Amino acid sequence: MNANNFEMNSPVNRRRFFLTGGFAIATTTLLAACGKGAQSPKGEYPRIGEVPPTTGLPTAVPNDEVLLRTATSLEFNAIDTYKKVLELGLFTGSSAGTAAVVNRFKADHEAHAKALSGIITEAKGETFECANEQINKLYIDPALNLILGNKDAGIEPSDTPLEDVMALALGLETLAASTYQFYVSMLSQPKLRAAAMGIGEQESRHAAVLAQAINPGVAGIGPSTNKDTGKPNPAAVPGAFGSLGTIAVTVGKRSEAGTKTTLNMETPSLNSMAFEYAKCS
Amino acid sequence: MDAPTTTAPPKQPTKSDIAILQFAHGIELAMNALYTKASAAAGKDLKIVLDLFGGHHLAYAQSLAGLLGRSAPTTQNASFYTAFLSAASSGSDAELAGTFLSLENSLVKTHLGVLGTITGTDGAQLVASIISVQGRHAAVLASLAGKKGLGDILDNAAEPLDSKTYPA
Repeated sequence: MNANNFEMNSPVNRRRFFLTGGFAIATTTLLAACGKGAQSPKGEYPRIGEVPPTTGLPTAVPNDEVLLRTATSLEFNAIDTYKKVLELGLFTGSSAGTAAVVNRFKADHEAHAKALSGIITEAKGETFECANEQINKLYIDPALNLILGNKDAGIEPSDTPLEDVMALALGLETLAASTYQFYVSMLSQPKLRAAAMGIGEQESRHAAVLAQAINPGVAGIGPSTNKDTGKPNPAAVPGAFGSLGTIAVTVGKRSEAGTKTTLNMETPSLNSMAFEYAKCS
Repeated sequence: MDAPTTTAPPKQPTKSDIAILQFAHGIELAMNALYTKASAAAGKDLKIVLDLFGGHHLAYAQSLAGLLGRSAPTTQNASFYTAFLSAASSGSDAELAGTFLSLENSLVKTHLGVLGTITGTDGAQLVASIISVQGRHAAVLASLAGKKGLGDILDNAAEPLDSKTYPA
């Protein structure tokens, strides 16, 4: 027996040797992996296998041009939606007059888009004359699927498409008005803020007209609550100040419980803006 | 577009902003008083609407006063109030609604002028949230005034109010 009681020919002590040695190797490997030694010169975590390279988005800031481009894209969302709605042929009989309203709103949005593009061009910026894909993907396409149905997705069409189309239009007009109001705090120049709200104010009027069409009369002017659902009724003037909160749009086929699906819309934020690198496809 | 400025706009109203916002505050107080007068002369349904909208204008005045702090005027714009007192306190419901339709349209234009002049973002945000709802007021009042054409509801050909015509 030696001084530290280590006998190589002893089976018990050999096992202890392997156990101790294995632990030492594992600890060394772990420390090497965590460290910034020669094997990880950039301080990266070691990887097993190959990782496909990724390309980050260019650095972009929501400057005046980006905000105006995004606002233009929302105008095109509205134009495209109204075009689709008109093609559905819903506005017949007692609703025939609504087609004139929709046509007027579409024309207004075309004029707004033109005005915004004019401001951008005048300031030597690059215009963005197409719909905002993210807004389509998040809000408009799901709403239209719920209204018109989508066999592939297993969605049945709404049993009240006209009512739902009006609700979607109210949601879009409210979203546009809120967006202009929100962007006032981000636009750097007072003249651009005024130009934006000059358009936003018209979107607000659109929303008031639609709210009155959905919920007519004096009862539909101020805020009220639906006694059955507990949700707010559409109101021409829902509050004293323009809201920047979530916009609820309730559409689709009624469930067995009598409820429809509610989509929540929000003003375009950083992940939905038409940054300078974004192009119309 | 123009090269982005490296200086962020101020949040609080600047000295030049204050004078402009003081004018807006005086007008909002006067609008509340005019709505109160009209409410007394209106029929049942119109009274509900006028009371609602009048309350909104009081809220605007209070918010502007909060923004202006000690610089806020304590009285309404007397010349503006006097100019419209007669029209706002007599006539049929449709005529009263028509009077306030033109006043709301004028206020929208006035506030758009304010927004295009002031630099402080706190004031700009507040004025923007007011403009948004005053447009809705106008759309509702147009219907109550018996306007049937979409152009009468949606278009705004009014002139902005100015402090020379309506000195505080």
